[in-house]
Amino acid sequence: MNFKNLSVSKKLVGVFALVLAVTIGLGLFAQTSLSKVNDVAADVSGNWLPSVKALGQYEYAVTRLRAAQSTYLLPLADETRARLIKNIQVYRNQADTAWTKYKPLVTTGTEQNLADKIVAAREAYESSLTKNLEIFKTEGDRAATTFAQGESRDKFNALVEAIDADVQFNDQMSAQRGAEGQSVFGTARLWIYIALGLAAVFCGAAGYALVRAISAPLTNMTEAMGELARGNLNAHVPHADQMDEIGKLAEAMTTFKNQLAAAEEAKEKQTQVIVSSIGTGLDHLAKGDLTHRVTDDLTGAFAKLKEDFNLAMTRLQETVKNVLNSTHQIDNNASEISTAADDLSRRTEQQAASLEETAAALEEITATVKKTAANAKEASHSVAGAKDAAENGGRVVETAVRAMDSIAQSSKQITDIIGVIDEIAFQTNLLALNAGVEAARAGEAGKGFAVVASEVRALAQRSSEAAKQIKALINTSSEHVGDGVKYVGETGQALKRIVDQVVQINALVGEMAQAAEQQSTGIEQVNSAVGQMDQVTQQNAAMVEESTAAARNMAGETKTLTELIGFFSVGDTHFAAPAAAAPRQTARSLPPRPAPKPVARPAAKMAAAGGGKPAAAPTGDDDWTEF
Amino acid sequence: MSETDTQSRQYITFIANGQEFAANIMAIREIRGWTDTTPLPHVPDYVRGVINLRGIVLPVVDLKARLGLGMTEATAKHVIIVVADGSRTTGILVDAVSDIITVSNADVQPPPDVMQCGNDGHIDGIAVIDGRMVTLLAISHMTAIGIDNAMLAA
Repeated sequence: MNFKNLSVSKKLVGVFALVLAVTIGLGLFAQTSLSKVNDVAADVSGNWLPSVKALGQYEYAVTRLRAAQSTYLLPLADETRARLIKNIQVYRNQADTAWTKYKPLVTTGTEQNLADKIVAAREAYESSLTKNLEIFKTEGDRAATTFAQGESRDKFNALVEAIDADVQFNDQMSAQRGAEGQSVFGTARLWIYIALGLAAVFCGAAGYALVRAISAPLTNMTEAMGELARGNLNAHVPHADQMDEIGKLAEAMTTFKNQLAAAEEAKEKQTQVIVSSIGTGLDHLAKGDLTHRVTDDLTGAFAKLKEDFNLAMTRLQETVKNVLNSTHQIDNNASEISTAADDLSRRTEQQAASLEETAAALEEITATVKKTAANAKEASHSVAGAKDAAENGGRVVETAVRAMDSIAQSSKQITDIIGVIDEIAFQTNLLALNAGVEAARAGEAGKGFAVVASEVRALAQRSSEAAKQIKALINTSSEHVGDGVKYVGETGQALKRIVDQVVQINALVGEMAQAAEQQSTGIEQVNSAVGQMDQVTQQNAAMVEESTAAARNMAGETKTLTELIGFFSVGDTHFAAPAAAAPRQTARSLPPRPAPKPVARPAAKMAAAGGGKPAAAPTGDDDWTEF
Repeated sequence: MSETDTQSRQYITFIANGQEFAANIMAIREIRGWTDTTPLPHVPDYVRGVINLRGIVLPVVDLKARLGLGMTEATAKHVIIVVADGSRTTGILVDAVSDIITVSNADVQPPPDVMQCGNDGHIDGIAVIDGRMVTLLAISHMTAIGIDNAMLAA
């Protein structure tokens, strides 16, 4: 079993399984080395270092106990001693706690011996401490101090030495384990590097083999298929001898190549037959013969081609016949359009003339309306002036009324003064009468005096009469002034009514002016509409002329078209050009020429006035009955 | 008679109720304008009351009412004629004083007989002056009777 003949999937699975095995071996080895290093590190951090720490705490507590013992022996107050006793108990407890922490960490062998020694030394020291306290109580401080400096100190030093020995042992062990871990790590690292190098080399070799076995044959096959696709049927198909999927692919491609060659040969033969039969048909078509049909026997898609060709010829034959028919009809219609266009042209001219007259009349009306508007505005100004004058008159009347009131007041004052004068005259008269009485009583002696009194009385009476006359005059004057006030008031009322009327007139005139302006605007709009109508009518006239020309052109073009279509032979030829000419001639001759073209404007006007009948008559009733 | 005919007297003429009367000037003490009077209780209706004339209490008689012609509506233009009859002084209210005239006895005629029955000495006579008829009143008599009537009424 050659590697080359294995299937592609098996090749892939084999290579990737080998790579996986190498990777797993490398991983297992690395994991073992790492767990060894981890064990060493856990031993150091979990056993040796905590032992050192606990022993340190133990030593510290023992030292403080010793310090408290020394202090106790000093001359002190009883309370301080009691407190020291309490402290000694505290330090003992601390030492016991530290020992409890250390005890589970003791290993068998050397360390167990060291720990036993510490326990023994501690017991010795504790008994010496108790004894020392007894001596202090029984024999005094001097003896106690001597004991403390002697036997007790030796016991304490022995304890400290035992602890230090243990600490040193633990320290040594920790350093030793650290060195072990480092050596394990160095060995493992070396082996891992070697394994990585081997795995890289192996994976590279496997990859290269895969590329050789799969990718290169595929590239060769792709090139061969490209050749085939480009139409090179002689291209060589490689790897046909291989037993794997690529070999099968090469076999299939060879079969495909052979089939393609056979099909090409059959196609060549069929083409010969098609070219000869369809070529004959197209030759007839080029000569204008639309009756020819392809009769050769053709197979497959080319039978459809023959049917399509024959159908196309039939359709073309029918179409050309229809075109001939339509051409004939177009010819007839063109002559009718031409006649109609002539009539339309004439009517359009008449319409243009009427529109011009309308425009002229409208301009006159516009001028009249504008003049009316201007007159209305002037009237409005005049009325405003009249209103101002009437209002001035009203003010004058008010002034006059005030003046007359003043006159009436003055008359009243004069009347008062006259009353005083009258009163004086009355009193004077009375005095004169009294004087007369006195004179009479005086007899002859009073005669002269009586004359004087009589004169004075006459004067008084004249004064009184004059006063009465003035009073009468003033009264008359007052009456006149009252009448004047009344009349002036009436004049004021009349002026006010005039002002009101003038305001109304002003409003009416304003409305007239506005209406005239609106009329003017409306007429201008009508005017512009008429202008537009005129323009449109003229455009219509131009268009009518264009359409007439176009209709004539169309008749000519139709003739040319008939001649051109005559090129085709369509078998049944009852729509031949000479036959089509006859109805066209009759169509041309039938409608009589419209009335003489120059229609004078007055005539058009008359026609418009007469309801359009005379104008319509000559053209014939059949065309224009709608009008 | 002829002696008396040629004698003449001076009269004051005055108007009451639109009619012209005359009184002897010698009986007249003074003429003055109307002033409001202070009415008196229990006096005849023609006694208008009293006025103060320079410290003297002067009773005033309405001539029109005295003649039985209705009450005068007194204004500032009305006049009181002060008449002295011996020690008694009385005011007479008239409409106006007209003139001082001189009448000769020849021009005076006695009151007509038709008044005889009713005439109780009020009228001295009737004078015709310039065609006007002027009744000459016995003025002192009039005031005296007025007082008597007032006393009778009291």
